[in-house]
Order: sequence, then C-alpha cells, then structure tokens
Amino acid sequence: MTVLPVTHNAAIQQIGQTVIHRVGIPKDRWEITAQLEVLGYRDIDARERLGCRDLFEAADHILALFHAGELGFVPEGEDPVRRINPVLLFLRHYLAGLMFSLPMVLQGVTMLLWGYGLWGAIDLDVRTGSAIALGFIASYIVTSGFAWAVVSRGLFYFYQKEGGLARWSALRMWWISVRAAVVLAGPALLFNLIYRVLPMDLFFIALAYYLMLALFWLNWSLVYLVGKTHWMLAVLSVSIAAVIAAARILGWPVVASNMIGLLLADTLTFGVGLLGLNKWARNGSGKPEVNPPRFTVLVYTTAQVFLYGLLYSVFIFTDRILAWTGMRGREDFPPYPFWLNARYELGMDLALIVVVLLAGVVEYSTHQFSARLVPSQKRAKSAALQPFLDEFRRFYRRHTAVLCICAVVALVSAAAAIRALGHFPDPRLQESLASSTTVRVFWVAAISYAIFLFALQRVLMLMTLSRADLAVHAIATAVLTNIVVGFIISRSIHYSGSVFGLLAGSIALAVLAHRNLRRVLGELDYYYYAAY
Amino acid sequence: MYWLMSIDTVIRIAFAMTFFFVIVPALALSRRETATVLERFFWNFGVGIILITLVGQIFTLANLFSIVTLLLTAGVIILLGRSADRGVPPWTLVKQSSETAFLAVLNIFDGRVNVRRRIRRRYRRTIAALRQKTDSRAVRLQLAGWIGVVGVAGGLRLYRPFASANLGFSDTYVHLYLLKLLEEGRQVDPQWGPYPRGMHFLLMSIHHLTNVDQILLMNFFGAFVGVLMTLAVADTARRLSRSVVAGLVAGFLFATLIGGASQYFVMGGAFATNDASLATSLAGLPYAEVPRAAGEFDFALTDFQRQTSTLSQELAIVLLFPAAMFLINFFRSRERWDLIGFAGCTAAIAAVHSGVVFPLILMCAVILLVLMIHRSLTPGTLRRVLLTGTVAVLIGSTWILGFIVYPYAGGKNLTSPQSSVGGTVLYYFPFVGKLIRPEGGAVTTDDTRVFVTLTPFLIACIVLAIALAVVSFRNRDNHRVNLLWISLLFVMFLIGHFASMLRLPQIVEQRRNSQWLIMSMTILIGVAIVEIGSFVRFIPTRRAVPAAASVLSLLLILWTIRVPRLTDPLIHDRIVNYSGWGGSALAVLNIERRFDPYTWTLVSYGQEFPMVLRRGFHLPAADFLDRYDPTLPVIPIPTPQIFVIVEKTPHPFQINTWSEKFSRAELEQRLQTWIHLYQATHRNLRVFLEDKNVRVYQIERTPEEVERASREARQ
Repeated sequence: MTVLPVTHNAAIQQIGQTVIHRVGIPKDRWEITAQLEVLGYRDIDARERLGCRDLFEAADHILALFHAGELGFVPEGEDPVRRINPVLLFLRHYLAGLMFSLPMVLQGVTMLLWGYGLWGAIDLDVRTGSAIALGFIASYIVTSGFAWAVVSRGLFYFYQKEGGLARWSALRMWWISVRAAVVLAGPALLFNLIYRVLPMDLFFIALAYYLMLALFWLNWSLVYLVGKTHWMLAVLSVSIAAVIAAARILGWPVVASNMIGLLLADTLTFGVGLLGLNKWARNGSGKPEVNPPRFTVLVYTTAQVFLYGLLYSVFIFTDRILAWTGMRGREDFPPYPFWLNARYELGMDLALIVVVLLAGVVEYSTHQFSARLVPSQKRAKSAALQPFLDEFRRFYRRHTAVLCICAVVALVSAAAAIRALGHFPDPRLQESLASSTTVRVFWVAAISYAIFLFALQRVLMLMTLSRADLAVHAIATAVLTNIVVGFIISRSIHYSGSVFGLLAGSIALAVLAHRNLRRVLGELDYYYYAAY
Repeated sequence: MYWLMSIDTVIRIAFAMTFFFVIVPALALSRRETATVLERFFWNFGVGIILITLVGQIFTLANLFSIVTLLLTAGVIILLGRSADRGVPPWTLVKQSSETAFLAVLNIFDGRVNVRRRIRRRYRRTIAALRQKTDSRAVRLQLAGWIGVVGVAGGLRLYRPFASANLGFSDTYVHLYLLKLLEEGRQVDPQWGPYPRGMHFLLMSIHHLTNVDQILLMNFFGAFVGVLMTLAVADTARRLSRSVVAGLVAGFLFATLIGGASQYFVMGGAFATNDASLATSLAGLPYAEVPRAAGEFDFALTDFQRQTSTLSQELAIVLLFPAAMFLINFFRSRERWDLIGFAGCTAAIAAVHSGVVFPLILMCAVILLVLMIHRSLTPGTLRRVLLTGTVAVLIGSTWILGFIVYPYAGGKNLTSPQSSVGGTVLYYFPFVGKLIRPEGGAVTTDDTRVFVTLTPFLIACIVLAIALAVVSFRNRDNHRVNLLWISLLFVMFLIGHFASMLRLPQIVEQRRNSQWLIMSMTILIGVAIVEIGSFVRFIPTRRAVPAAASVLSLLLILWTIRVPRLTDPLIHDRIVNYSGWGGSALAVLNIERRFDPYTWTLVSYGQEFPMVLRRGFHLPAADFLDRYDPTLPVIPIPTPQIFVIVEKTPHPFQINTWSEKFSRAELEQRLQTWIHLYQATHRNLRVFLEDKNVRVYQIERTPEEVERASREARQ
C-alpha cells in the first residue's frame, strides 16, 4: 500500500465515509470493493480520482482509515417504539380493510334504497342483467392480474425511494393493461360470433360494461398504490349520484345511466391516482426515473404476482360462471349459454357480508405481521433464533384464533342480516330469500368465504415475505379444485352446486396456505433474509 | 341466406373433422412415414370415433359432455401421446412446455424473436416443400385426380343439403331427436331403448366444438360421410391393386353412381313381391314407367340418397373397407399399428351401427379363407387377430349395457320381437326371424321375396371377379391375396343380393346389403382395370399402352355421359323432397335465428319436433286443432310468437301413429281453415315465409296478450 497525495486522501476519505454509511462495520476489503463497484467506481476511477492502482487498493486504504478511526461510524439504534392503543390500532387497520369492501356495500345500499348502483339497477331485466354480469366478471378477471402487478411493482420502487420510477412503472403497466383489455375484446367478439354466447345486442352491452369496468379496476389499483383508498368512497358516491340523477331526473335508460356513472368514476379515479403518482415523482420518495427497466424485465419481475392476481379473481368468480352456464335444475329456461340467475346471485351477495366483516381482521393481521418483522429481527441474536421463531408462531396462533372467533361472529351476523332482510317490503326479494337455492347458496358460500379469508390471511403473509411462488401454487391448486368440483356438481346434480366448488377450493387453499406458512415460519429467519 | 348458412356449416364441419381426425392425432402421435395420408386418416378416424364414444358415454352419464371436457380430453390425449413419444412423464412435459412458452413470450417481448419473420419463413419453407413434393408430373396428376374425385363426390353429395333444408331421410329426424336426448344426458331413448351412439357422440362433439346449428349439422354431415365412403372405396382399390389409377377409377365410379334411368343398367330394379311374374313384368318396364308404388326399386338411387343423408349405417360403412385393409396389412407386416387400426375401425363400427359388424365379420372370414387358400397365413397372427377383434367389438358394443338399466327405468320387454329393438333386429337381419319364430305382429321382411335383376353389367362384373380369382393363382407374391379377396367378396355380397330371390337364408336385409355390394363392385372394377392394363404391357406392341389408356378414357367418358342430372325431376323429388318440404325446415332455421329461445311456439304436422327441442316449443297440428279455438280473443299459448306451418301441397310422408286418425292432407286442410277463421277475427297474423309447397304464418302477440295467455294456460 502506497502513501497517497493529500488531494487523493481527501477524496478517498469522502468515498470511504459513504461506503461506511452504507455497509456499517466492514468485514474485509472484499466487501468494501464490492460496495465501491455498486457505487459505480471502476479501476480507472480508482487510478484517476483516488490515486490507487485499482479498486482493491482503494478498499485497502478505506479499511485502514476505518481501523484508524478516521471514518465516522454510528451503530444503528433500536427502532423507536410508538405506543399506540391496541384497540385504536385494530380499528385503524380494520377500517383500512373495510375500505376494500365498502364500495360493494355502498353499491348494495344504493340499490336497495334508490334502485340504482354503478353497474346495474334493481329493476333490470334478466336479459340485460346477464350481459352486465358477463361484462363485470370478464373485466375483473382480465384486469386483476394487471392490478396486482401495478401495485406490486409500484410499491417496490416506492419503498426504494424511487418515486419517479414508481410513477413510470405504474403508468406504463396501466397503459399496457388498458391496451391488453381492449385488444382482448377482439377475440371475445370473434368467440361470440362463433359460439353465440349472447346475441349481439347483449354482447355489445357486455362489452361496454367490460371496458368501463376494466378501466375502473385499473384506476382503483392506482388509487390503492398511492394510498388514497378512502377517496374511492367519495368517487363512488359522486358516480352513483350521477347514475341516479341520469335515470331519475333525465329519465335515461339504466345502461346509459350506468355508462355516465362509470365514465365519471373512471375519470375521477384516474385523476386521484395520477395526482398521487405525480406527487411521488415530485417530492416525497425522491428522484425522477433513471434507466427504467426493459419491458421484458417488467414482465419477468411481475409474472408471479400477475399470475396470482389472475388466479385469485378466477377463483372468486368460478362458481358464478359455472352456475350461470349450467342448465341442470334451473328454475328458469336459460335461452343462452350464459344466463344470470337472481336466486344464486342473491345467495352469493348475502354471503359477502362475511367477507365485509372479516376483511378488516385479515388486513389487521397482515399489517401486524409485516410491522413486527423488522423490529423482532433486529432484536434477535443470530446465535439464538429460537425466540424469534417462537414469537411468530405464537403470533400466528393468536391471530388464527382471533380470526376463527371473528368468523363465527361474522356468520351469525350474516344470518341475522338475512333474517332482517326478510322483512324488507319487496315481494320478489322475499320470494327469492325463501327459495331453497338462495338459502343453500348463502350458507355454503358464507362458510366458504370464512374459510377463504382464513386462507387469504396466510397467503398475504406469504406475499409479505415475497413468497409469491408458494401463493401461486396454493391458489392454482385451489382454482383447479374449485373448477373440477364445481363443474361436476353443477352439471351432474344441480346448477347451484357450483358453490360447493368454492367450498372445496377454499378448503384446499386454506390447507395449502396453512401448510406453506407453517413451513416458512419454521425457518422465518431464512425467509425473512431471502425476502428483501 | 340459406346459402350462407350452408357454407358456414360446411366450414364448421370440415374444421371439426380436421381437428378431431387430423390435428389432434398429428399433435399426439409421431408421424408414420410408411403410411399414406388416407391410411393415416382412416386409422385416426376409427380410433378417434371409438375414443369419442367411450369418453362421451362416461361424460354423458354425469352430464359433463361439453366443449370444456372435449378440449380437455383432446389435451390429455396429446399430452399422453407426446410424453410416451419422448419417454418423459406427462407432468415433466407440462413443466418443460410451460417454461419454454414463458421464455418464448419473454423473447418475443424483448424483440429477440420476430414472430412475423418466423411465420413468413415457415410459409416459404412450406411452399418450397410442397413444390418439391409436387415436382414430378406424375405426382401432380395424381393429386389432381384425388382432388377431382373428392370434388365430384362432394359436389354430388352436397347438392341435396344445399338444395333444401329438409333433412333428407326420415331416419335423420330420429337421429336429431336422439342427439338432443344425449345433450340432456339421456343415453337411452325412453320409448325406443338403448341404441348404438357412436355417430351421435361424434355429432355432439362437432356441435360442441364448432357450435354448428344442429339442424344444419344433421343436414350436411351425411354428405361428408358420403365423400368419406368414396375415399374409402378409392383407397381400398389403390391398396389392393397398388395402383393410383385403380383408386381413382373406383373412386370416380362410386362417386358418380347415382342411379336413375340412365344408370338403371347397373343394378336394375328390385321388387318386393311374392308374385314372380309381376316382378318379371315390373323389371321389364322402362325406368320412368315403373309405378312409384313399387317403392325403393332403384337400389342405386336409394344408396346414393343415403350417402347424402346423416345415417349411422353409412358412417359405419366408411370404416368397413379400411378395417379389412388394416387386417390384411397386419397379416403381412405383423405391425402393431395395423392391428390397432383394425381394432379401432372395428370398435368404431360396433359403436356406430352394430348391423355393419356382420359384413365386417364376413369380410374378415373371407380374408382368412383367402390367406389359407394361398397359404399366406403367418403363424401366431390368427389368435391375436381373433382376440383383438372380439375385444374391439365388445368395447364398441358397450352401449348394450343400457339394456341392464332400461327395464328398471320403465322400458319395455326387450326380448320381445314386438319391441322397437326386437323389431329392428328382425328387419335388419331377416334370418333371425326364422330362428326365433316371432309371434304375430313382428316386423319382418322374411316372408316377402325381393326379386332383383341380373343385369349385363353385373354379369360382366362376375366375369371380372372370376378372371381376377384365376389370375390370383398365377401370381406368386402377396398381391394374389388381394385379387382373390376382392373377387370372393364381391361374389359373396352378390349372393346376398340374390338371396331372397333364390330362397337362400338372408343374413342382412337387401337394401342394406346393396351399399357394400356397390362398394365392392366399384373396387373390383378399379382393380380389374389395372390388372387388364398389366396384361396389356406384355403385348409386344408400342401402341398397346396408349390404346389401353384410350379405351379406358373412352369408357370413363361413356360412363360420365350416363351420370344423371340431379335436377332431373325423378331424382330431385326423390333425394330432395323425400321426407318433408324444405320450406318447413328453413322456417325453423329462420325462426330460431330471429327470435330468442323459448319465446316462440311452432305448430306443424310433426316432423319439426326434434328441430324445435331446446329452442322453442312445438305443438303437433292434430293436438293444436283439437285444443285451440281460432275465435278466442287470445290463444292460450304463453309465448310471444306462434308459428303455424301449413302445407299447400300435403307431403306424402305420414307419421304412422297419426295417420290412423287423420291423413296428412286432411290435417293440412283443417289447419288452413283454422288460419282463415283466426284471420277473420284477429289482426296479428302475417305470412312469415312462403314457397311453392309451404306457407308459414306468424301470430305476434303483445306482452299483455302473453300475460293473459299465461293466466289462461295456468287455469
């Protein structure tokens, strides 16, 4: 090692300080060399700017300076522990979870009170209702994977304090998603021409809803990404008000009124999302986008999350698709291959009460899991990991028990809600509520949703640890189970038997997710390390 | 409009047939280089039909037959075939394929793979390969010949469905009904009993895969079968003679054998009577003067008509000669591929139409006899063939299991000759009647003799058969088996043709026998022409071959001159308007396209019932006239639309159960009167469709009227 001139010494001290800031106590020259390379230094820089032969010699100088105490180093302290009332904490996250399902609730309430929702109306004929249902399901399935990818990649860059890149990736993927959704309408049209799933007038209604709702879901993902989910409630309120005004005051037909509402909702949600992203790019998270990833890299890095999102929505809607394409035991005469059944839908909608009530609990558990990980890991000594593992096993058991209790409460509440709804002065509603199909579908779906949320809690914890592969595997198996069981029962016994597919799929998902998470928790130190 | 629908149907059926019997096998199995395209096709066709039938039987039991399960099955077959071919487990293959696909997608997105350029390259290479293959003039001529035969056969057989929406043959209406029952998951007809369902499962697969209209499918599928029969004849002649010329000649003859006055010289007439002198006098009459009451006296025309209609017997016959050829090849090569081909075709025949198993057994027996005569039977093959054939027939006959369940589901006593199944057996196989001595009332043709004509053409064919048999003893190679087999086969079917007249035991009913008799006859002629040609080559004159070719061309031209026009009234009426007026079927097609399902009711004589099932509602004219008063303000039928088909010219075909109460003409007259009365008191009647035979009325009601009709119907 040679003695450096003063100018070079100052330069190496400055760079050395940067390196020590980033790596902490250096282990050896190799670690410092690697960090110099990460910072973009090359051998030629070492020669010209630092007066060293190469990066290794520069690393030796930095190591010597550190050992001489000339480079400042402050060990990282414990994270400050903010004491928050656990009840308040629970309520905060419960409300955040509830925010996902509030739009559904809002839609249901406005339908009951004023007869109109953002997509649909209580007086719609089954013919148009079938087209809307098809458009709704198709839009959800097509955009779900993209929405997950948008959020996942956007948050990835956001947490790296790359606000510009987060904006860029979110808007780029949003635009790709919009184009993909529009392009898919072409094959759908061709498919409908060949297979006549719906007559052309209904198909175009379905297509209109599909396009508007696809935009809506994608915009929703932007709003979620920038953490403005509460705005969704405001947007939905305004949009539904527009629908009601168009229908009641202007006397427009339901489809036209819905289109106005959806157009408004699409514009507003996109505005909220874009404003949030612009804010990220401007300040807060920092830099504008530099060297954005190639399209292939974007596809590769988001493939698993995309697949998970896609499978998730397929899982959610499989039973409805199977029921509405089934003919066995139908109370009506389905004239086309896809035909809405109000009794089945009512049973499923009422079962969603369980989801609404439990979503907040799952959100709370997932948040607590990720919030605890970093401080607990910092407290743990590498030679004694067992307390760390035990802590999370206890956490898992406790939250499982909480969820189970809440599930029972949710089921009882849903049953009570059904009983209360029976007194609602609508003969059609009362007739449907009295039908064995609705009752059967409600109970099976309610239990299925409770199990599904139990599974979802585990899946989200796996996703927190970046184990999207395990989540994909579990949900793929669940989707397959859902399809096979639902298809066989709905075709062989009764169309509403497709709900048993949902039950079987939920059980499969719960078992697999539970098994995977137990395995991960058994080696949480490794999985935690591998996750970040 | 009907033309467009017809073209659409032809494309859909062609696509489905290509998908099931060309694309899926090509993806699942490695290509067998030694087999020709047609050999591979018939192998796929036989094996494919039996697979579709077996899978269909299982799926339909649980009501699971759909495009999803169909494509899934195709996927599983491809996966299993590929994994067996590559020697890797299926799951590994799935993983490898998905990884490759993902990488391919990434490469495409990254611009490393230019899809357009690859498509263009593949196109260029395909064109170059085709050019290379068709470089030789002989190949081009052969190709043109095959295309010509297919074109002629297709053109003649597609004429009927293109000319009329009528299903062509009365049995086809029954098959449409059975198809609809199968779609409901009912494998056994509650009235009839169990039946072979191979064709119905194939039709259902085509329908599910392409969503082709079922009425049009039933109307057009028969023509496809007719073309396949022609190809089976041509390919058999080619394989037996090892000459494409024989194949093309046989194919052309079969394709153009239509019947009618100009071709009456080929088969002559057939008259069912116990009066020999009457039969002789009828046979002596010119074609146009034979009374129509003589029934289906022109077997050639009946056979041609059947080749244009969707009938299970004809579908089974497609596989008859290919099955025999696979068997002959197996005895020579001992290759498993040939044995599977034989088994597949046999099982498919049993699954499609059990009656065709009998000629197959006879054909196989003749093969064994010929092999023994020529001492060509390879040791160890006979047992395998017998075992395989028996198992194949059993597999194909699994529909018989339905007999176990049928009696418990309210079925009739099936052992009785009076039952539908028993009656059919007696009709189809007259010799059974003698064995079981049916009690009175059973349908049997055994008592009435059928007099057929021994035409000079048939005598010439007999001479050819004898000559070929003699030549076979002069040969020393495998070819001798072929020559003797086709000769004996023709003679055997010819004896069957004359059996009733000669008071011999009639194994298969004559009209059924005539189809394979004609096939064997045309094959025999094709093979014989090539054999004569080979003799000509030995004549030490340079001009012998061109002279022989000229004679052959002249004969073909002469034959072509005798091919009748299908627009000839005698033929047109027979093949186009045989079982009903096309206008009625066309009306149903237009109604189902224009109106939502279950919003209309059709009133007609009765044949349209299976067409309407699962689309709208049907009322037989007799019931409609009994139940509904035309002067009522609202007819209590709760659908917005009511259509009434009135035949201006009552069709001669009658449904037996109703003809006892009213004749068709009387019913149509009463229906017309009903319409007049309705018209006098209502303003919502209009003519929906009209042609020279049929007028279709439409009664359109308001929602209030429908509501009122529903109330009254409930009361």
